[in-house]
Parts: sequence; C-alpha cells; structure tokens
Amino acid sequence: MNNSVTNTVRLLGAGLRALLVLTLVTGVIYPLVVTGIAQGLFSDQANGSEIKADGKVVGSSLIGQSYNLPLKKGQETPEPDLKWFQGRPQNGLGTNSVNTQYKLILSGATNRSADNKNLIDWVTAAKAAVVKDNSVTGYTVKPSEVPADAVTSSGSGLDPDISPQYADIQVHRIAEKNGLSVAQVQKLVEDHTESRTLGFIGEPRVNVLELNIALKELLAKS
Amino acid sequence: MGPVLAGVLQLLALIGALALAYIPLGNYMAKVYSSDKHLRVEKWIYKGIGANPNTEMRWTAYLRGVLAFSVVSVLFLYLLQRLQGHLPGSLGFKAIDPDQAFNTAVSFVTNTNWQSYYGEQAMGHVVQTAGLAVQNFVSAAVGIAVAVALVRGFARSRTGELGNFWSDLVRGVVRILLPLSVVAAIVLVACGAIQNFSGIHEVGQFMGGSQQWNGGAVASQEAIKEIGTNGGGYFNANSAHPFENPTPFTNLFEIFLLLVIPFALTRTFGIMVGSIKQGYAILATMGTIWLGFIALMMWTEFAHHGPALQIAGGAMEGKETRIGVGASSIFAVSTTLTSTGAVDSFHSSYTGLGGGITMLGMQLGEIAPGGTGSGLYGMLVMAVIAVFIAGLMVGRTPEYLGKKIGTREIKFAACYILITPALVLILAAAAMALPTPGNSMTNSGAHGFSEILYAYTSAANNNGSAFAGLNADTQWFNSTLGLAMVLGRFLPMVFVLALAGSLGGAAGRGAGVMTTRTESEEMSTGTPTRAPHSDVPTGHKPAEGRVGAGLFDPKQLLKSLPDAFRKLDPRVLVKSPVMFVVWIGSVLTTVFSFKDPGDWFGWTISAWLWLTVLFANLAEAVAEGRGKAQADTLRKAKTDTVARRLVGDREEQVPGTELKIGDLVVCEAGDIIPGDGDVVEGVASVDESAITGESAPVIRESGGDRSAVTGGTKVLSDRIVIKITTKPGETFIDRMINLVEGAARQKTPNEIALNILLASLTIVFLLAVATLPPFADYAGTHLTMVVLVALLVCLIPTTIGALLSAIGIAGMDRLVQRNVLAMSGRAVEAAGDVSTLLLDKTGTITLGNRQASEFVPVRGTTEAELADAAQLSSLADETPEGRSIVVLAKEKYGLRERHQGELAGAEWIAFTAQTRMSGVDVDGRKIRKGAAGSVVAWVTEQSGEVSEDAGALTDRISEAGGTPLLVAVEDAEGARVLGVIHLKDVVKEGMRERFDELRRMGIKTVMITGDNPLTAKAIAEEAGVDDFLAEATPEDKMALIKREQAGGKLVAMTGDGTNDAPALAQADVGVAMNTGTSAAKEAGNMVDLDSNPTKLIEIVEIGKQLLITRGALTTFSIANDVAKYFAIIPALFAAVYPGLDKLNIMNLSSPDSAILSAVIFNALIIIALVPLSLKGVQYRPVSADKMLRRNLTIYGIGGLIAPFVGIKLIDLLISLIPGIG
Repeated sequence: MNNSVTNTVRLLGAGLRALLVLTLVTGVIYPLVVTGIAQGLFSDQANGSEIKADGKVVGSSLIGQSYNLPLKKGQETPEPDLKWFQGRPQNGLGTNSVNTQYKLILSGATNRSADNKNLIDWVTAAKAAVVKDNSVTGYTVKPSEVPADAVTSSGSGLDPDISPQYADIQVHRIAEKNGLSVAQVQKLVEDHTESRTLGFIGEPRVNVLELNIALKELLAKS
Repeated sequence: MGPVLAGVLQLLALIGALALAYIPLGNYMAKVYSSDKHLRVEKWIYKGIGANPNTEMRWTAYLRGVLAFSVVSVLFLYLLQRLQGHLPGSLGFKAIDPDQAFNTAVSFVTNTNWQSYYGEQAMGHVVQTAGLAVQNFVSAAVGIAVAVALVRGFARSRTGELGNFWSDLVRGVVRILLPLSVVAAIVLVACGAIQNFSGIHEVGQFMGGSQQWNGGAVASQEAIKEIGTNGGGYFNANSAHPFENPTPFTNLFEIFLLLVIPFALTRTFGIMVGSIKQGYAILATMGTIWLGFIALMMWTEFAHHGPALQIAGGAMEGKETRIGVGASSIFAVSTTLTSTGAVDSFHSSYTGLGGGITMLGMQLGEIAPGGTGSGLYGMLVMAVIAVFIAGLMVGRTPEYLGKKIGTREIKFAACYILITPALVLILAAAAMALPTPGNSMTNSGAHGFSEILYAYTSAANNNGSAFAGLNADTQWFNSTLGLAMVLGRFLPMVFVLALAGSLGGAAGRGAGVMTTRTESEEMSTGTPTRAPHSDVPTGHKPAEGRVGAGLFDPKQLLKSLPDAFRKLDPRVLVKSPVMFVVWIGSVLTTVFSFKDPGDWFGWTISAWLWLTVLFANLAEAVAEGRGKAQADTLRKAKTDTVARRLVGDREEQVPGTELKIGDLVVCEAGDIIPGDGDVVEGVASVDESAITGESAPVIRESGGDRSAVTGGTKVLSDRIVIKITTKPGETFIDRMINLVEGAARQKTPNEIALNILLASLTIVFLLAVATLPPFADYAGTHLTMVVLVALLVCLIPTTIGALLSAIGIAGMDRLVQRNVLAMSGRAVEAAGDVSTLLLDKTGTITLGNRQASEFVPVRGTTEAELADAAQLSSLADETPEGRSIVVLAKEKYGLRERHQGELAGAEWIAFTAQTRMSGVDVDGRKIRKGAAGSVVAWVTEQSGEVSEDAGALTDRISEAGGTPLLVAVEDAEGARVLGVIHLKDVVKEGMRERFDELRRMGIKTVMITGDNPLTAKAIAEEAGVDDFLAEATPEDKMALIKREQAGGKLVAMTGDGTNDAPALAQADVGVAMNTGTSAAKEAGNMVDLDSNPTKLIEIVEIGKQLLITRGALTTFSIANDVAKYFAIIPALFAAVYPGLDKLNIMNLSSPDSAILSAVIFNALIIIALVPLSLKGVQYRPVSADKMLRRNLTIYGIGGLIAPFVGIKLIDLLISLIPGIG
C-alpha cells in the first residue's frame, strides 16, 4: 500500500516534470519563435492587417465594421448610413460582459436553426430592407436579386466581405446618395472585387471597408 | 464557375494535397516511432522528466503514464485559469469560475476543446499560450502515442510490451507536431492570421470612434489547433474569425492540416505492422465515409432546405462570404469526422440534414479519419469487430493481422464501443428530464433538443464543436460535459491499451505475413465440392438402434415443446443475455397488461414476447433432442456389469462401478468389458458396435497400438486381461453420453466472444430505449412501457441470440453424425481454423500398401520372362505386395494366374526377416525375389553373375520413390538376375485435387512418413502435398508442430499409437483413432470412431461450417434492425413530427399494427431459421472473397430486405382483423 502510494507520487512527479518541460517547449519557446519570425517577415499581417484612410487607422481589413448613422435619441438600433456600402447583418455579435474595462468585439454567430422563428423574422426583415434601401429612382431591386449573404449573419459576425452581387445592387443607391455616376461606382466595385483564389478556392467577394475607403477617396477627389 | 463546381474543385485539390503528403508523412511518423535514436533536445527533455525513454512498458504501465500525465495536466490547467488574475500577461482578465475552469481544463486535456468560455473576453496571453496551446500539443501527442501502442500490439508477438509512453509523447511533440506547426503558423501569418503579444488593440473605425480587439499568439495556436485535431479557438467564432482564418486559401489549408495526420497515420500503421496494404484498407474505409459525408453535406447545403434559408435564398447563415457554402461543408464534415471541432461556420444554422450529418459524424466515433491517434485506434477497434463477424462468415476463427480475435479482444472492443453511446444517452436524457438544463437552449422545439444532444455527442466523442446556441456555461453543463469528456477520452484509452496488451501478448504470424482477408488479396477458401464424407470409404453402416440425426423434422418441434417450456426458468435463461432481456420484457409487459386488462395491444405484445422466448428455447431443445436419442442408445450399452477382478492369482467378482485405476480384470468370450483399459495379456475379438456402430468385430491385443478397450463393449472370443485406466463414471462411454446430450457442452471461445458482442449491443439498445421517454416527453408524446419493451426487443439481436446455442449444439451433433467425438467445443472451432494438417502417409494419402507397377528386366532378359518368374515366385505370397505382382503379371502380360496346386513338387520359400527373400523351387528352377542386397548376395553365393545394370535399375526406382524388388533365377544356365519389380506407393484417387483445395483454403498439408527422404519426396510430389517429414520420429513430429504453432498457426493431426500421444496433445486438433491406444485417445481432443485418418479433412469442414453459420445469422440479425427502424420510429413519433411519416415507407396501416407486426416478425423469424441453424449454412468451394460476398448478399442484404417484406405481410394480415389497424 505504502509502496503503491510512493509509486503513484513518483509517477505524478514525472508527469508534472514532463508537463513543465513540454510547456517550456511548446508554450513559451514555440510561440516566441513564431512571433519573432512573424514580426520580422510579416509584421503587417501579424499585427492585424490595419488599414489607413487619410493617414489614420480606420480598422483592420479583415474585420467587418458597421456603417451606421449615429444613434438618435430614443433609438435602440441605429439606422444604416446609406451613403456607404453596407456589410452583412451582424446579429451574432456579442457584447463584452466579463471584462468590462474593455469594449471588445465578441465574435459569434446567431446559431439560429433554419426553422427558428427569430431567424425567419430577421431574414424576412433584412430582405425587405435591402429591397427598400437599394431601390432608387429608375432602379428597383427585385427580392429574387437579393443574395443570401445580404440577409444572413456570418459565422464570426465580423465578415469583412460581401458578395459581388450584394455590392452590385448597392451601386445605384451609392451613386444617388453620393452624387456619383453609376458607372463610376460600378467601376469602383469591379476594382475591389476579388475573385476566387487560383480561380476555384473560396468565393468571389468585395471587402466593404476597402471599398468604402476607396469611395471616400473618390468623393474627396471629385 | 458556379459555387458547386468550385466546391468540388476545392475538394479535389484537398484530396490531391492529402495524397501528396500521405506517403512522406506516414513513412516519417513510422520512423519516428520505430527509431532507437534520441535527438539531443529529447535527451534534455528526458533528463528533465527523469524518465528512461528506453524502458519498455506493459499496457498497465503505459496506461499509468497516460493517466498520470493527464491528471497533472488537468490540475495544472485548472490552476492556471484560477490564478489568471495574478499572472502576468493576463491583460486584466480575472480568474475563471471553478466549474468553467474545470470544464475548460478537462476539455483541452482530452483533446475536446469544447469552449464554454468566450476566448476574447476571458483568456489572457498566458492561459492561451502556456496553458491551452500546450495541451493542444500534448493531448494530440498522447492520442498518437496510444494509437502507436495499439499498433505495436498488432505488430509484436508474444510480448506485452508496448513501447515507452514518455518517449512516444516527447517524440510526437518534438518530431511531428512542432515542426509541422512552425511551418503552418508562418503560412497562416503570411496570409493574415495575427501573431503578437501586444494585448488589446484599439484602432479607429471608418465611421469614427474606435474598436478593440485582442492581439495574441493566434497563428501559432491556430496551427496546432488544426494539426492536433484540437479545435479550441483563440476567439469565440473559432476558425470563422478572420484573424484565425483570414482567406479562402487558409480555410482550405486548415482543413488540410486537420486531416493530414489522421489520414497519414494509416500509412504509419501499415508500415509498422508490415503490410502497407492493410494501411490502405483502413485508409479506403476512412476516405469512403469522409467523401460520402461531404457529398451529402454539399448536396443539402447547396439545396438549403428550411424556411429561413429558403427565404434568404442560400444557406449562408453562420457562414463567411469568403469561404462560401462549398468549402464550409467540407470543413464541417472534416471537423466532425475528426475530433477537431474547429468550425469555420456554425453548424446550428446548417440545414436540418446538414446538422444531422455533423452529429452523425461524431456519433460514428470519429473514425473517418478521426482525431490524431484516436481516429486510428477507433477505426482499428471497429476493424476488430468487423473482422470478427466477417471472419466467422468465411469460416475462420477471426484473425486480424495474424492475431486471433478472441474473447478478451472482443470484450475490450465491446466495452470501447459501449462508452460513448452510454455517456451521450444517459447524460442527454438526464438533461432533458431535469427542469433547468432546457433553459440553456437558444432554439425551441426539436432543434433545442438537438443542441443538447449535440453537446453531449461532441463532449463524449472529444470533438468540441457545438450547436453553439446552447448556453453551456452553467454549472450543470460545465460539470456534466466535463464528465463526458473525461470518461469519453480515458475509458476508451483504457480498453485500447488493454486490447493492445492482449494482442501484443499473443502469438502473431510476425510482421509481413497477412492472414486475414482484410485486404483484398486473392486468398481462397475453396473447399471440396463433394459433400463431406461422400468419397470416404468408411465402410461405416449405422448399426441398429443408433439414431442418425438426419434432417430437420418439424415433428421435433412438437416433441421438444415440453423442454422449451422448462427452459423458461430465468435461472436457465440468464446464461443467454439477449434472451434474458426478452424474458424480463415479457414479464414487464404482462404485468402492465394485468394493470390495464382492457388493452388488447398490451396482451398481444406480451403474448408474442413470450412466444419469442419460447421459440428460442425450442430451437435449443430441438438441437439437444437430437443428441438425447443417441445418448439413450449408448446408455443401453452401459448396463451394470460385473467385473472379474484379479487379486494375485485369485479372481473375485465386483460390480464394474467399484473398479479403480490399475485394477486388472479378466474378460472372456461373452463378457461385457467393465471399464476402459488396456489389454495387458492375450488377444481377443471385440464387438464395439455399441460405440462405433461398426458391426464387424475388431481385434484387441496386448502391446502395440491396438491394446485399448472400451467399457461397454463385448468380448466375442478368447480371453484377455485388462488393466483399468479410467475411473467409473468418467469412462469413454460416460463422456460420450454427456457430449451427445449436450450436458457437458461448454461454450466455445468464439461463442463466448459473440455473446459478449451481442450483450454489448443489447446494452446499447437498452440504453437507447431507456433514455427515450424523456426525449419523447419533450417532443410532446408519451411512450407506454409496452411500446418501449416492444421497441427494445425488436432492436436487440434476438435472432442470433435465440439461435446461438442451437447452432453450437448442432455443430457438435454434425460431428457425432460423422462418428467423431469432440472432447471440447474449442477443438471443433480450432478445426475450422487449422492452417496446417499433418497427415500420415500410409492409409491417409496412399492406400495402405505398395503395389507392383512395372517389371524392369536387365539387359538380355525379356519383360515376359521377368514377369513369368516374378509371378511364379509370388504365388504363395499372400501379402498385398505379392498379390499385386500376380495381378500385374496377369493384367499386363496376360499370364494366367497359376494355382499353387498346379505346380506339383513346388517348394515355397517363405519370407523371413533373416533372408529377406521369398521364392519357389520348382522344376529345377529356383526363383527368388527380395531386397536388392539379399538377392545379389544369393546370386553371388550360387556363383552366378549379377548383371551390371541391375544396380542402376534399383537406384532409379528408389529415386522415383518406389521400392525395388530384385528377381533372380538359378536354372540350367546358372544363377542370374532377371530384373526388378517396381513396387510403388499408390496415392489414393482424388487426393491431389483435395490438397489443391486445401491449399486454396489456406491450409498447408504436411505428409508424415517413416520412408527415406527420397521416397517421401516422390510421393509428396505425386500426391501434391505442400511439405513432408521423412523418417519421422515422434520427436520430429512434436518439433514440427511446435514450429508451426510458433508461427501462429493451428495444427491438426491424427494419430493412434502411444508414441503419438505427446504430439496429439500438442496439436490444436488431435484426432485419435478409436483403434488406437488409450494414451492416444486421452491425449487427443477428438476421437474418430471409424478410425479413418482422412476424416480430418471433414472435421475441418464441419468446424468452418459452424463458424460460418454463426457469422451469417449474426449478420442477418443485425441487418434486420434497419427495417424495424422504418416500422417503429414513424409509429412512435409521426404523431408529433408528421415529417417522420415519410419514414413509413412500408405504409403500415397504424402505429399499433406497425409495432405488433415488427414483434411478430421478430418471433417468427426465429422459428423460420431453426432448420438453417441446425443444418448449418451451405458451404461451397469458393474463394474467401467470394464466400464473404455471397454470405453478405444472402444474409446481409437478405437480412435487410426480409423484414421489410415480412413486416408488411404481417401488417396486411393484422389490418384484416376487425378493430385493429
């Protein structure tokens, strides 16, 4: 009995030492080495692919933002600023509740199932809004033209991209709201449309933040 | 290009990349775990640990290492989280709550990586990198280590040593996971994944204001999270988060990373067990499941069923734009078929079927390709079970990689597969039954239940993905999910390592030689086309009074009915776990029917359940009944005899039952021999028909190999003295009675193993049915006890459970019909599985005697002259050789057979051991024939001449395996040699074909002979045996058997002499001839009453047939379940979920009649299969592949279809009864 206790203690000791040594290798040396290489070779990417407009950092090209009007009094949900290209709905984003010294973005999805009533309502409302917002004089968006990404929330809630189709149906609205020609805006979208990597990996997409920065630059020039 | 095509191309690219990595990585990992060398850095680590990496561990030591390391890891990670507030680099994050800290610690140590926390708002740099990421490495390495230990169990022979855990752990981390992770992490950073230690970033936003996000060592953690199939994300959104998975390329790359080790490990396995083909077989299985799941997933996701997705126009909810539907589907399947659980899209928002596929992937046990290590060992456990059933179906004691799959192996494998279903069912049922856990659901209705089921499925299978709407950060979920993770990880490991130890301890055929047909190598199990024993000249005629069991007669059912009722006693039934469960169910439904006497449905179900048990008993009773008749005849022979015991010179009369071993008894003509013994004095003819059924008397004499007599037989002439060798009550005839009655029947090893497997299936279904009520209550329907019992009985393998024992009894019975008594069931099974047959040349391969085949004259003599002289000299020679010379001369040279009487004055010279010649002196001629040396000497003595070519002729005949007999004559012309008679061993007709067939069955035949090697070789070639043992002594035989057995082969032999006894005892199947000595009969495990050595081949066939019948009916029984799901599930749930009525493809008339039809079918199929189980499955000379395919078609596909037809027909009949349906 005594013997087996000693053996167990000895074994646990070996386990602890193994864990500590391996923690040193995989938990300290490994991340530091990778960080060193990353910071040395790819410091831009390693630090969040920050993107600037007018010399000011306006976010990360990888993190989707919202383009809303400031909240009016009594309003709970802000209205979209239709001057700018709009991204996907972000119904899955959470708010920081644990460590309230920060105002961290909490990534997340809605996790609503296909037959969930909330989701049906959200999608239905979003579709109506997309049709309404983007139908301008001389251009009517048909519900069937609204792509799925325009009315659904992404997995992270931070999707930086929209589909080219969603960008396309926003073109007339952006042109009208900003006093630009449709062709100008259309070209802007085309310039910022990224096709599939190597022609088949992933989906074609438009980075909304980059597109809006380009739009802003275009507006500044004109 | 459309998204579907792009999805398919991405899949193809992924397969291409995996294929490229497969061989180099697989080979490299095999080298890592086989090499003796330690890297310098590893030596430092071993020094730090204080462990000697060269110590081999047995499975228990290996397991202790795994457990000790894991316990310490859980504690360490728990403390790290609890102390977070005090640690530097914690970014102000506080300590994690105890239950969440426990859950997270367990989650990462078990390779589950379930996240009940929000990564970005709970975990600082230190906990993430020095805590969670470390476990990503080591938990993966532990998984691979356990898999490698199991592989070593397969690869090694006769050693329980499985390697060194510390060494395997460290090598996995240092040589495999670290290098891959460094490269992968840098690729990820280059594509945009973040890698810094700069805490919280605050950056401006386009619309003004600012946003905050966490910095951190994300890329380095992301890499190992995928490579180690861990899945715990740095961020809550896991691999959907752009910082973890920034581009479409990284997405595909991450899928590649999480699949590459699990797939490549199959190569490592193939190399380590010495057959790359076996690795490919596992790979093919994994790959097929994986691809099938992906195809289904892509189809359902692109079709985007479900209201919200239909409105949206695509299944993009929870999916990222850059990744899209196609690649998300591939990721979702890959992450749930491995134990990764990382997600690039959220499964809860998948289509209903898509979400189901992710759950099914985990419930399969994550084996396609599964987690790092855990996938391989999970699949190998499945392979063990699959091979067990498939092996039975082709008539072999199941073997995988040269290792017998016996009772112990099946026990461990069955426990392994029990664990996760038990955890998932019990815990999910508890969560549904309790009032509060349901509050955690985000979705209501069926999907809410799915959230909880998914959570336990994910935890128990160590996946970690979620239907993330469930708020699992509650005390209940944190602790129960933690429990599921711990038990779901370590209990299987215990059984895997125990299995490894058991396999490693067993003899194997060594690396390189594959014995099972798990790979599709062309290996045949052809068997003789003729029915067993049809071509065997046994001369056996059943004597009067002996009952041949014959074919199944329906009257036997009626006759056995009383016995069947007697067997309803629970004390008897408890031995058959499946039928015992049915019995309990019958009692329960009956009790419930009494409580509600107006319920016709309850009564009918109860009645049919009782019938089910009764039918099972009936099958057994019928099988036993056939033996009983034989036992009765035997009993008649065993009348109370009076023995004449010799005490000194005096004789005394004592009852036969009072004889002791060593007593001497006298028997004279007319006496019944009072007990088993050996003749020590005298010769007698004995009537043994009571035992053998052979009416012709046999000679029994003292000394030699014919000295054994059996109690109950009758001396017909002369007087013998017998030394008693067996105690009364244990005599041969007693044992025979017990055997044929089945009273002494012990379950055979395969039967026990199969019983264990069936019991474990029964337990799974028992759990499934027992946990159904809370699920049904949630769904809003109530299931009655009667319905639950009916469901249970339909799902458990009642068919095979009912017939298993009848099959075994019938197998023994078939041997008895062939006049072979098997002393143990083990021997019968071993017979089906022998791979080496030792056959005595004389009597088995050749006709007992040599025969003259040609006359070869020396130069100057004609053949006719020689033939004439040879015939003359042999006229008086009554030996078979002599007769054959006369016959040959007559047939070939037309020489009329002269009678001895015709030759007046002829003086016949008889053969003596001294002269070694025989011959005749007649009409002044002296003719001699005999051994070359003796005849030459005789000629020389008569001053004759020996022709020069005589020597050459005799040599030629000897070389050809024949025996030369020289013929010489002395007449007027003097003495001279005329020529040589070629005596030849005549191989029995049809033997060559038979050996060819045996070879195709994978059985090697070795001929045993006392001849010289030359002769032996010639006969061996002529007969077509694979090998021979010439000038064999008993010691040689013994050595040969041991050598074959050391190679893992089972050896069968026949023997009769006392000097055969040790070899008979050593052989796995030792068939003693009944004419042999009692020592031989004691040593062997079978006795052939006909004393026909060729019967060994039939015994092999019967053994195989026994195994095949079991395997076929097991497959049939399990395949039956499918139809019952379609019958019963819609009946239970279509009321609340009308969509399920689509499953009612049989269009059964009502729920009640559907359930009743299934129960009735279940009972009737037992009776329907009784004849088959007694007769045995038909058995044909085809290759193992073909046999498996054929049996799978008949009993697998037949088992699928039959119940659909049967249940539908019964339903039609029932619906005709008014008031029902």
